[in-house]
Amino acid sequence: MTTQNLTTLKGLLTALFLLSFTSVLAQPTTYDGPQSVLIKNGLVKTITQGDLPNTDVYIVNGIIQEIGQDLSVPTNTPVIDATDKVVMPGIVDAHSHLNTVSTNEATSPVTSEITIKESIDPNDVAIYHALAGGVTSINLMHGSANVIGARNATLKLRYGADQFGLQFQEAPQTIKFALGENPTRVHGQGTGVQPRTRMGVERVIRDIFDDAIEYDRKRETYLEQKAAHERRPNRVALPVPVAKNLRLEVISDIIEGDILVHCHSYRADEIMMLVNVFKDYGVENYTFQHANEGFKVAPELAEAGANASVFSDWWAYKFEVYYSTAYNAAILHENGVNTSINSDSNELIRHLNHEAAKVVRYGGISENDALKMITINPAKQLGIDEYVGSLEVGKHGDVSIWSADPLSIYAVNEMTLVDGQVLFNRKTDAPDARLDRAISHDQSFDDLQSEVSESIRGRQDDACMEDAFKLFESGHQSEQSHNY
Amino acid sequence: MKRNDRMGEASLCFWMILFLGSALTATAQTTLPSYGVQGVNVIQSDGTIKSDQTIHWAEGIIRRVSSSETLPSSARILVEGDSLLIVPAFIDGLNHSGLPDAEDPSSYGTPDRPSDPTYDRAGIQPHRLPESEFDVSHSSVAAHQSAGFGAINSSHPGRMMPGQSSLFFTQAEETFSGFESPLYESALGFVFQFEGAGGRAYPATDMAIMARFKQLLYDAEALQQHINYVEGPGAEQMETPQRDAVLESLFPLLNGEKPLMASVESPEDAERVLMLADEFDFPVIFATDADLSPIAPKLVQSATPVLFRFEKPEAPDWIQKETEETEPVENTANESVAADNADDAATDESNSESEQEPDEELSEEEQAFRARQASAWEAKKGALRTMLDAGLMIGVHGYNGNDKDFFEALRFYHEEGEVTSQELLNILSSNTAMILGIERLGTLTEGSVANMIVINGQDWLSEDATRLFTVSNGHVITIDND
Repeated sequence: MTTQNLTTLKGLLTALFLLSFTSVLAQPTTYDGPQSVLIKNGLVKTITQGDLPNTDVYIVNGIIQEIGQDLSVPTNTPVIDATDKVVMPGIVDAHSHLNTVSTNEATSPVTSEITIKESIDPNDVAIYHALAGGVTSINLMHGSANVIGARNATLKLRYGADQFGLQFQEAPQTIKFALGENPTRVHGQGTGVQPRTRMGVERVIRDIFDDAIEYDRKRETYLEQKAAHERRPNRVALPVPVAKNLRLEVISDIIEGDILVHCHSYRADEIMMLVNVFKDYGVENYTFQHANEGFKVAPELAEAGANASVFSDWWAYKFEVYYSTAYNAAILHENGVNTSINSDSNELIRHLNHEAAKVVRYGGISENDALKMITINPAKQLGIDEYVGSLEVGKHGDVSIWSADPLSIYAVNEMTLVDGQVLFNRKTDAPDARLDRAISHDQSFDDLQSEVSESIRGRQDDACMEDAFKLFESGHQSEQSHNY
Repeated sequence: MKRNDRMGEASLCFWMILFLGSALTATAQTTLPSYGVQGVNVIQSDGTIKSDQTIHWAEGIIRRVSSSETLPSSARILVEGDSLLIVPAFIDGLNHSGLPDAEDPSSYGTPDRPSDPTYDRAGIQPHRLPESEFDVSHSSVAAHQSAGFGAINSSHPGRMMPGQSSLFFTQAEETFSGFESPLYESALGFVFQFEGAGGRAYPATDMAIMARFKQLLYDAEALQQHINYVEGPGAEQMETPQRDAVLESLFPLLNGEKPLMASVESPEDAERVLMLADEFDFPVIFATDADLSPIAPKLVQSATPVLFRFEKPEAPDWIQKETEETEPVENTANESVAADNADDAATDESNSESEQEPDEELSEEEQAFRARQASAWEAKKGALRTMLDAGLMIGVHGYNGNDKDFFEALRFYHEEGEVTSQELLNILSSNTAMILGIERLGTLTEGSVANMIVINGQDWLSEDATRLFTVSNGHVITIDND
């Protein structure tokens, strides 16, 4: 037998051994589409309709069909025994960069033409990590390098689906704005263009809004004249074409109310600046992200109908984030501002229940109101509360099942369902949750461990500036070269 | 794993025409009116192998392919003998060969308006054609000749849209004033890649490249419409449009007349390009070394072909180590290679220790890691097979100039990836021609362009086969096998 044959034989035997091992440790359950299931006899926290002990939740083809006690269902329906468990809606995170391919296009103060929907990595194991924390929907956001960033992507964490299957189809479009240090640092300080100051940030917004209004007028006129010419070519002159401008069309849609603004912000003065700008242009139903000084202007925010999505107790990672308090969420809430607690972190997203619990601890709000801050409130901010955020008949079967009251530090999320399918099961899932398609054939075990360690460690300061910092450091955001 | 029978050196039999002499070098050629090969074996793109064939070509065109026929008296016999094999010359479906290198991105400064750099600074140059700069005597073209490539679809290197590609022969007539144009067909498609502008300039990310691309086509659409209006009736009073060479060059893409030749690194990238194609309704050709089988149904449905780049993938370190561990056993048995110095002895000792390291010492976690990586490695090896089985049309692109590596990669996919040598030959020739829409290349039939490889051996893929000549557009290139 030759060396080559010996080598081949050994390789074959190794592969066979390992492949047999693989059958035991297969990839995690991946999304197959809406499913039917009965979750039986749990303490059901509906969020909007009270807590229901010893209650069943019956999901049919991904939609909650019935909630009640001792429900009768077809005999072939899979059953999850939730006795002594707490059943609550899947958590909604209104601020995440969980699985972006790129987070910041930090080369222009306005990038509304861009969409994060074209920057989704469906293979990132971070999706599974978030499911492990009971999260089922996220606002996958552009970073905060630009005054007006990209449009965001609202996702359902259908782990295993492709970049299209992850998208929350019914969700309205949202877009990222950013005020303060980040855009002034990136553009004014970085490349010497407006904005260099907070005043400049306002100017950028007003200018692009005015440009959009003017564009909209010209484009509409052109399209109307073109249509009229096609109807009556001899009587209506041909119009000079006005090119579609994606950047301005998106801004126009914001003014029209078709796109919801989620604005990175910290200081009360800049928050009020945007409230006033939006008032001038008639923009409504927007959300301030972070809003660490939101508590200072809580009544004004409530009056404007603005939402707030905040950290429970995270601050001091840069100058504009020093004036902060752990009572922020509670004060906003008490003043009538629809408030959510977000993660902005791939680590924190795994225990948003703890973040909500802190609001009870510091602000003294009710436990149900705290849970609302990670379920129905962020769902409202994303315009998806008709579908998720509470356990109600007709809503999506997005559920997390906990070992105890989810606000307890001892509670563990045991199971997470999306569209009725169990996509996280603490008891039965393999330790290695990576998708088959995400496994590299040439990555070392040590490198993988480092990567995982990096991904689950605490939030990096100013995570919203991912990619932008790379641009600062290297001067090049994309340097790879195709050397055919 | 199977290889065709190799022929022994003893059967080598061919005639070199002496007067060709130094004219048959890889760098200096003179067109001869008529050539031929006799008594050779020929592999056609349909897999048929015919023996004792005569091929006659003149002025770059194959005039006759037949058995036992005598060449015209005017034809010069290049080679003859049944030890020789003739296969279609390869076609590189997309490359930068023969063209100057791209500017070093580190030299890019920040433009005055980073958010709106010039077209050139943004890497948007679809109006750029390679003809005027293609240098057939460039070393990268010579490397193609040596590997058996008779034609290259070449485009400028660059960023997001570095230009259009044109098909060139790898040899051309040399005159007193230099080489004649080796161009076969101009402007085959628009090259696109997810390469940002570099430095602090828009676009930097893939998502911005998507948006910038869309806006380019919106602008081109409006300009085309404006030009059509002005040139048509009923627009006498209309102001004339401001002409824009970049936007105007995109009209064929916008009108679906030419493909986007998109370089992608993952199925997700490919899906993003297909989103653009869906919106603007143009054909796409992918250039990649990635396994696109996960999106094969979409590619098949949209009749989107793939130009695959052959590079031998590296096995996981631990599999490589296991493979290497087998070899010392053989070496020990072979006394002639016994280590005879201290360093070697130390190395052997080290190897011996690692050999004895039992797998049981691996943590359960690492064992699981290896199990899944073994599956990933199997999938990687079978990627090309999987894509072929899915019904994708596969061609080749991106030959990197190293024929040893290239043929090693081909043999890897043949031996480890279960792709037949005929399938590989088709990928390298007829499939690529078909993908590029070039009918007269990639086959050895009468009327086709005389592009072929003359091989000493009966298995073109074998390590023992020697490529003697590459014929490109009828020009004979002697391959230096030293």
